[in-house]
Amino acid sequence: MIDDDVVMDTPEESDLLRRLAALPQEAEPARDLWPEVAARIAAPARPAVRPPRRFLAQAAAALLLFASGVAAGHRWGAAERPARWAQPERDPFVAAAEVQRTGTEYVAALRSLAECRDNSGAREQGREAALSAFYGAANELVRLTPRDAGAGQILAAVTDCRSPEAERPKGRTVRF
Amino acid sequence: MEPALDRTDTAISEPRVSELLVVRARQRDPRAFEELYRQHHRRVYALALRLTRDRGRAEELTQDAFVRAWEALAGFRGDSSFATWLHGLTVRVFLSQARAEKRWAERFEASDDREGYLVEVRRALPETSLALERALAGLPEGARVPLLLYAVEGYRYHEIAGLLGVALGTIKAQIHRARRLLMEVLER
Repeated sequence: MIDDDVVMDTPEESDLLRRLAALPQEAEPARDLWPEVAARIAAPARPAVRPPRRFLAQAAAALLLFASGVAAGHRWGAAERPARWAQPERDPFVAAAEVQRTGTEYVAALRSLAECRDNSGAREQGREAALSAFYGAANELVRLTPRDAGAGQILAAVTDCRSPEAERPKGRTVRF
Repeated sequence: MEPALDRTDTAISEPRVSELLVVRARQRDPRAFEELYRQHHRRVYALALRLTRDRGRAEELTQDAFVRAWEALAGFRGDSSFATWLHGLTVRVFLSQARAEKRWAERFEASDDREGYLVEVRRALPETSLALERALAGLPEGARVPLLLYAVEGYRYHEIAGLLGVALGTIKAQIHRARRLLMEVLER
């Protein structure tokens, strides 16, 4: 193989490289992946490069909110329930119930945040965390029902909400 | 229904059609972008499958790469072909996700379903050498990805070093070690 350096290959190594280079380079996915791509690009264009620190902050905030929800769930009497999400094989009805339960907790956590005394920094943090979690949920919803136009519109709308940098007050980005 | 793209001018060569598609996609024409997707998704999926060694993750990576391409098309200056640019972007998305997963490892269950991967290889790459794919997939991560990019995808040492963010000498050593390991596995 031609490269920027002269590499002395043994005949065996050369043969191996030839075999690797001859491996097929095209594979058809088992399903059509385009509808989900189409749904995602239907959202208004986001900045080409998102600052990684900002992404980390959002992810950390989302995780914090999620952990708070789990902690609150335990405190409110869910402590005796087994950790079902650790099971490898899940009953879809149980999984659906879990979605409903955690969704309720998510809404309750948001309501609780909204009822807090005004603290614009905390509210901004909560908003970012809520949008990050919602964005993740919308992505999963599109994966769950890729041909559902409604799910695609939800994802597009959430993506739109998260995108405009100008809407966010400067200097309030939460750093972890 | 309106045709996806007017390609009645048969005097236009395929590369030229691709260039026109890229121009139209940069102007935010989703139909042109879909045409680009149809032209390139098999190549991207094959790369994604070998990078991730997992069908589900390869599907996600393929989709993420095209979404990222749509977002980043404005920055595509045509210095290389669209295909080259897209493949490099796919690798960068993979590396970015792999780093994020490492950072957030507690959120993900480690999945290394080698047999599941080989089932997908058999289905998606029926002409391939299964023994070679198996041996390649079994290499340690630090050896597998550089060798895959070098020997299968045709990247050069300095390009791989740039993509992975490591020194040129390190990449050469990793690829050398990967080749040795691969030969040992194949000789067993």
